[in-house]
Amino acid sequence: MIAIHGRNALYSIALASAVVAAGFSGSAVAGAGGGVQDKIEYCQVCHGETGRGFYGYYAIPRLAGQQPGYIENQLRDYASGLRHNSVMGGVARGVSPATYGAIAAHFHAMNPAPLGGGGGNVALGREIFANGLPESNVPACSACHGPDAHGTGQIPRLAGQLPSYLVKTLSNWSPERGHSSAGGLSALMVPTTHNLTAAQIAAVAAYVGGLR
Amino acid sequence: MKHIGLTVASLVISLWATGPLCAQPDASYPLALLPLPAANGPPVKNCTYCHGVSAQGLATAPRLAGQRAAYIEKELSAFRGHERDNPLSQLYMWNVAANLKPETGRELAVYFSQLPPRAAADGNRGLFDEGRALYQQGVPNANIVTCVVCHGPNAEGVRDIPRLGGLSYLYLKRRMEEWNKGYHPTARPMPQVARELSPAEIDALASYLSFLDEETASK
Ligand code: HEC
Ligand code: HEC
Ligand code: HEC
Ligand code: HEC
Repeated sequence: MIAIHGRNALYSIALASAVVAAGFSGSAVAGAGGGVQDKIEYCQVCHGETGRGFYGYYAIPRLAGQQPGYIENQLRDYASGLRHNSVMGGVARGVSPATYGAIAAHFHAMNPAPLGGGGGNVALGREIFANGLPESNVPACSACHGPDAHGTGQIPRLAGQLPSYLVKTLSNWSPERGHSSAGGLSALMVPTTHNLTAAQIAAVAAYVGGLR
Repeated sequence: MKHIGLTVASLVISLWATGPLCAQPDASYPLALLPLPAANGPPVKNCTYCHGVSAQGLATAPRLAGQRAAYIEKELSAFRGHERDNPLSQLYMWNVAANLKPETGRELAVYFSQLPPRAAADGNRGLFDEGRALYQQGVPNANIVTCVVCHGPNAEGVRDIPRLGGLSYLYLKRRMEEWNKGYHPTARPMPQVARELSPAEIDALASYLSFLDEETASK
C-alpha cells in the first residue's frame, strides 16, 4: 500500500522533472560564463571546498552529488521566500537564475566522503529507510529517495547529508518549507515529518548521513 | 618594569582562577587568601606576560579569555607546524608553541576559555551599524558571506571556530589584512572570506566586533 503510494508519487515527480528540465536547459546554457566560477567559490566558502558541507555555528548542508533539479528548485524557493531561511534567502537573491543550471551541475559532479557526525540508532534508521513504519503511517523513504538514497530528478539525495542538518530540517518542515514550495513537491514530505518521533528522525539521519 | 607587569598579572589571574585550577593558597604570596593557580596547574603566567592580565589582551597579543578551547589548541598546533606564519606569530608564538607540550597546551586552552571575556571596545563607534550589517547579512551580490552562519549570532564562536566579539580592533583588522597578504593560507575558509572584503569593510567589521559583549551582541 505504502509502496504503491510512493511509486505513484515518483511517476508524477518524474513527469514534473521532465517539464522543468525542458524549461530550464536553455537558460542554463545562456548563463554559463563570466562570474559563475566566482559564484561557485562563494558557495564553497560555506558549503565546503569539496561541497561536503560544513559544521559552522549552524550546520551547512552537503551539496556534493545533490540532484541538479532539486538544487535549482531550492534556489528558486529561497529567492522567492517559499522556503524560509534568512541566510540562503539573501544568497539566492544574489544569484542569476540563468546560472542555476551551471552551478547545480558543478555540485552534482562532486563526490567526497560523507562528513558524518550523527548520533542515532543506525539499525533503526536503516529499517525506517528501507521499510518505513507502517503502524505510524511513515512510508519507506527508499520508495522516493531511492534504495541508495541518491535521489533522482527533483527528489533530493540524502546520502552523506549532515545528520544535524537533516534533524533540523525534518523537525521544522512545516514552518520552513510547508508553503507549497518546489511546485508542491515539499508537500509530499509533510505527513512523513509529522509522523516521525524525534528518536526516529535521529535514527534515519544517522543512517543516511553515513551512506556514500 | 617587567617584574611589576608580571606581579600584577599574577594577582589578577589569581582572582579569576577558580574551580579545579585553584588549590591551596601559597603562604609566601602577599595576598595569600586569594585563590591561586595550582602549583601543578598549567603555566598561565608564561602566557599572560604577553596576553595581559587575566588574558584580556595586551598590545599586539590578542585576548585569550573566553576564546574557544578547541580553537586555541588548533592555533597552538598551527604555530607549532608553522602553518600560521603571520609576522607576529613567527616572532612570538612559534617559540612559545615549540616549547609547549600538547597536554599543557590543552590545559591552558581550557583554562583561558573559562575566563570571562571583556570587550576591547576600541574600534570606531561610527562604523558600528555598517559593521553589524556586514556581519549579519554579508553582501550576496558582491560574494561577501555572512559571518553569522559560522561565528554565531553573538560572534561567540563554537567548537574550533573562534569567538570574535570583543577582540581588539587592531588585532581583528590585522588578521583579516594578513590573509589578504597571503599569510596563514591553511585557515580555510578565512582566506577566501577576506579576499572579497575591501579595506573599508574590514575597518567596519573590526570596529563593530570590538564592541561586542554578551549584552550589545543580542541587540
Ligand atoms: C553564508 C553561508 C552560505 C553561502 C555563501 C551559501 N550557502 Fe547555501 N546554505 C547555507 C545554509 C546555512 C543552508 C541551510 C539553510 C536551511 O536550513 O534552509 C544552505 C542551504 C542550501 C541549499 C539547500 C540544500 C538542501 O539540501 O536542501 C542549497 C541548494 C544551497 N544552499 C545552495 C547554495 C549555492 C548554490 C550557493 C552559492 C550561490 C550557496 N548555497 C551559498 C549557507 C550558505
Ligand atoms: C512520496 C515520496 C517521498 C517519500 C516516501 C519520502 N520523501 Fe523525503 N522528499 C521527497 C521530496 C519530493 C522531497 C523534496 C521536497 C522539496 O523540494 O521541498 C523530499 C525531501 C526530503 C528531505 C529534505 C532534504 C534536504 O536536503 O533538505 C529529507 C531530509 C527527506 N526528504 C527525508 C525523508 C525521509 C527520512 C523519508 C522516510 C521516512 C522520506 N523523506 C520519504 C519525497 C519523499
Ligand atoms: C612574547 C609574547 C607572547 C607570549 C609569551 C605568548 N604569546 Fe600568544 N601571541 C602573542 C602575539 C603577539 C600573538 C598574535 C600573533 C599574530 O598576530 O599572528 C599571539 C597569539 C596567540 C594565539 C592566537 C589567538 C587567536 O585569537 O588566534 C594563541 C592561541 C596564543 N597566542 C596562545 C598563547 C599561549 C597559550 C601562551 C602561553 C603558553 C602564549 N600565547 C604566550 C604573543 C605571545
Ligand atoms: C564557513 C565558516 C566561516 C565563515 C562564513 C566566516 N568564518 Fe571567520 N573563521 C572560520 C574558521 C573555521 C576560523 C578559524 C580559522 C583557523 O585559524 O583555522 C575563522 C577565523 C576568523 C578570524 C580569526 C579570529 C582570531 O581570533 O584570530 C576572524 C577575524 C574571522 N574569522 C572573521 C570573520 C568575518 C569578519 C566573517 C564574515 C565576513 C567570517 N569570519 C566568516 C570560519 C568562518
